[in-house]
Order: sequence, then C-alpha cells, then structure tokens
Amino acid sequence: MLSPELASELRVARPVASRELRERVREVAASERPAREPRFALPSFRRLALVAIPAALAVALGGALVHGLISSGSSGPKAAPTPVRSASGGTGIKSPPIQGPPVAQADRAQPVSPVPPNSSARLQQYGAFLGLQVKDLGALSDATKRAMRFARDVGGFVAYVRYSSPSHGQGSASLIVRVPVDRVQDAIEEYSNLGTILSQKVNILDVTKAVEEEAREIARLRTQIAQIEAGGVTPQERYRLAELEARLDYLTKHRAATVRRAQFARVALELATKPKHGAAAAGRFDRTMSDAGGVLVREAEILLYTLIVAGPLLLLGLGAVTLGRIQRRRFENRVLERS
Amino acid sequence: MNAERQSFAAIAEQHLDDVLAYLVYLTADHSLAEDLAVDTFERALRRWRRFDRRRGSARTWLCQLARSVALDHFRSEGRRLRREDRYAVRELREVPPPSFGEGLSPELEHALAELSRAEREVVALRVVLELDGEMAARVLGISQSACSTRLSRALQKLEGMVSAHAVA
Repeated sequence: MLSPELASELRVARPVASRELRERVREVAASERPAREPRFALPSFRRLALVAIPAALAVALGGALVHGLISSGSSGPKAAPTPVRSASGGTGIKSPPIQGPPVAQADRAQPVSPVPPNSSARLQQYGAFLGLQVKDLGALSDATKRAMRFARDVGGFVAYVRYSSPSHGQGSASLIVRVPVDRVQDAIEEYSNLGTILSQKVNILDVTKAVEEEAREIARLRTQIAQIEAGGVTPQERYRLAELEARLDYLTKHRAATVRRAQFARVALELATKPKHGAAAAGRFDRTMSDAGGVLVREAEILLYTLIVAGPLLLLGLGAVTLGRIQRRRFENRVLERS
Repeated sequence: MNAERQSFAAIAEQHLDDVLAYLVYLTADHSLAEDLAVDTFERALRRWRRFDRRRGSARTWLCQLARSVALDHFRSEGRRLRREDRYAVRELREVPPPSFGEGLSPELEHALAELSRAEREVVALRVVLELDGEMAARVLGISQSACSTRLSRALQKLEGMVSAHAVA
C-alpha cells in the first residue's frame, strides 16, 4: 500500500480549478434553459421490462381463461341442452344438429315427421339422424330394443348397434337401421317417440339422374363391345375389349348398388341418458380449462413463430452490439495503457 | 431560477475540483484537462434530467462523464494523428511536462508520469478523491476486485519508483 505520507501529499497537492476555469464552468451552468417538466418520460428499459413481461404474461393467461369461460358457457355440441316438448306430443330442439355427410340437407329441428313423401317416380337416397335423450338406463335398454324390433317389423334390418352403460347410471346407445324407403316416415315417427329429441337431421339425395346416366353409359358400352366382337377380335383390340368389359362390370354393379341403397333409407339413432348436474358442472370446468389451455398453446405457437422469424435479426443486432463493445473496450485498454 | 438549475450550478461548483483532478491524472496535461472539464460539464448539463441520484452520487456520475469525454477525446485525437501520419503533415508540438498538482515533490511527480493512464486514474479515484471501491469500480466500468488489483499494482509501482528516485 501507499505510505500515508505519500497519500497525504497527493491529496494536499491535488489540482485545483483556476479562476478562469471556474468562470467557464459557471457560464456553462448558467446557460441552462429553464427546465420544463417533460410531458411524458419513457421509463428505463429494465423498469419497462419488469412491468411489461409480467403484464404480458397476465394478459396471456387472463385472455386464455376468459376465452375458456366464454367458450364453455355457450351451448356447444358437448353441452346437454334442455329439451322442450312440442304441442303435438313431439319434441322441440335446443341444440344444433350433428353434422352429417355432405349431401342435400332437407330439414332440421322439425318436431316430428320432417320427411317429405317419397316420389315413386324418382330414385332418392334417404338419410335421417335422431339424437334422443331417455330418462334412465332402463328406458335406454327398452328404446334400443324397440328401435331394432321396429326396423325388422317394417322389412328392414339393423346395420349397426352399440350399447354402453359404463357407470353411475349413465349410458348411451348408437344404432344404424335400414328401413324400406316407403316406411321411412313411419320409422321417424316411431323413433321420435322413444325419448326427447335433442337433434334431428334428414338428408335426401336424388340419384335418378346419376342412375340414368349410368344406364346410358352401360348401353353404350354394350354396343361397343358387341361391335368389336361382331367383327372378330384382333390382338390389337383385345386390350381395348378387356377395358370396356371391366368398365361395364363396374358400372353395372355400381348402378345396382345405388338402386339398392335408394330402396332402403338409412336411419341413425343416438340415444343417451340424462346427464347429472354434478357431471355437467365438472364438464364445464374441464371445458374451460381445456379451452384456456388451447389458447395458451396457440399463444406459445405465435411466440415461437415470432422468435424463429425475428431470432436471426435479434442475434445479428446482439452480435453487432457485442462487437462494438469489444472494440470499444480494446480501444480503451490500448489508450489507458499509455502513460 | 428554478431549483433544478440552482442544483446543477451548485453541483458543478462543488465537484469541479474533483473532476479536474481526475482529468489531470488521466491525461497528464493540465490545460487539456481544463478543456475536458468544461466539456464534461456541458455534457452533464445536457444529461442533467437523466441523472438519477438513487443510482449513485453526483460526483461518481460526473467522473463517469469525465472519463467518457476523455476517451472520446483520445479517440478523435488518435484518428487525427493517424490522418496526419498518412499525409505526413504532423507538426511537432512541444508537449509540456506533466504536472499533477502544486507542491508535489519532483520524485512523486516523476513517478506519476511513469504510471499508465489506467493506473493514474485508479490512484486519482481511490487516493486523491477518496471514492470507495464500489464507486471507483463503477466509474471505471470494471469489477471491484479488478479495481482493487489495479490499485494495488499502481501503488506498488508508485512507491517503488519514489523510493528508487530518493535513493538515487
């Protein structure tokens, strides 16, 4: 360490400002204009980051939760709607129908018998869907059996059945029955009485034109084949003939299947017992959390995307700043090493 | 005159000697140090609104500004010298012998002149201005341990040179 004498000498003999210098500095201080309070002063970057980052996180979380609450509050397909009895003994519908195949949608939400009378002159493929709610497991079992029996009684058949009653008195059943087209109206009426209708949909697809076109195509193919065979099949024509025969076979089968489908209507039934209130409440909470989680995931995706896009630019900027600092530091060290 | 203006004037009056002493030790040139001191207070006046007392004393802040002004001067001076070297028009200027204060012994004056700028500035801050280690390190932009190491070496060197000169 430095001896006290030397330290004292350095302090006592320290440079003092001359009168001229003091005057110059006073002039500088006096040249200050009257300070006006800034209307808006930006806070420092650190302070801004300290506030902005938690605020952004809070907004992201809050937004996700609010979105979840709003989404789960609206009656979606998952929510059990309140059924309404119609005056005619049928039922009304509160929930939107479940989406079916992309065919002509004739009707929805009509209480009973929405199927228009079948025109015997045309070929039409009928499809109907009914979502029904029954009181309990006993009613569910009865309704399922009754639906299957009715399909057979009218000359149809059951294409698919699924019945489940996992626990807590809750259960559901899915059926797909095929009934003759001329009895589809009776079937809809019969099935409407199995429980409270939650959703209903009927599809009608007119296939008359398609079948007629196929018939014309079949006739044309037969003529071509007959012409080829009449003149004797040359080796060059054999491949062409095989192609025509394959096409004829496909079209014949396809047409037969289309006609067969048009003879039987497809009726899908979804039967379910009434949900309990507790389960409904828990369902809403779960949906809220699920929706909020979805929004958070989406926000994270956007953040990640932004980072990926802006990352290289940020890295370049950071590199430039670091390089500048290193050069400045080197310069300082070089300058300060001199005496 | 409002309070803020009075405050700056008072602070300038109060710390002018400190700033000058620091700059004299850093530059080893009294007249240059005086010019840089004026520049420092001009810069301080421009930045006066941004001065935050919670982040350090006015003296520390002014020393930081003085250091920045001096480094800017060295940078521009270096550029000027390189330019003059390139075109061989550098004029020979008589450099006055360094003086670090009235009444310093020739041995100490000589020893101080032999120290590097980095060593002299740490001596100025820690010994002459009596800043504590934390404030001195903040002015120099280095860690406290680095500041202590630099001070220790500088004092050792200074002491050694003064002793050697006295023996001779």
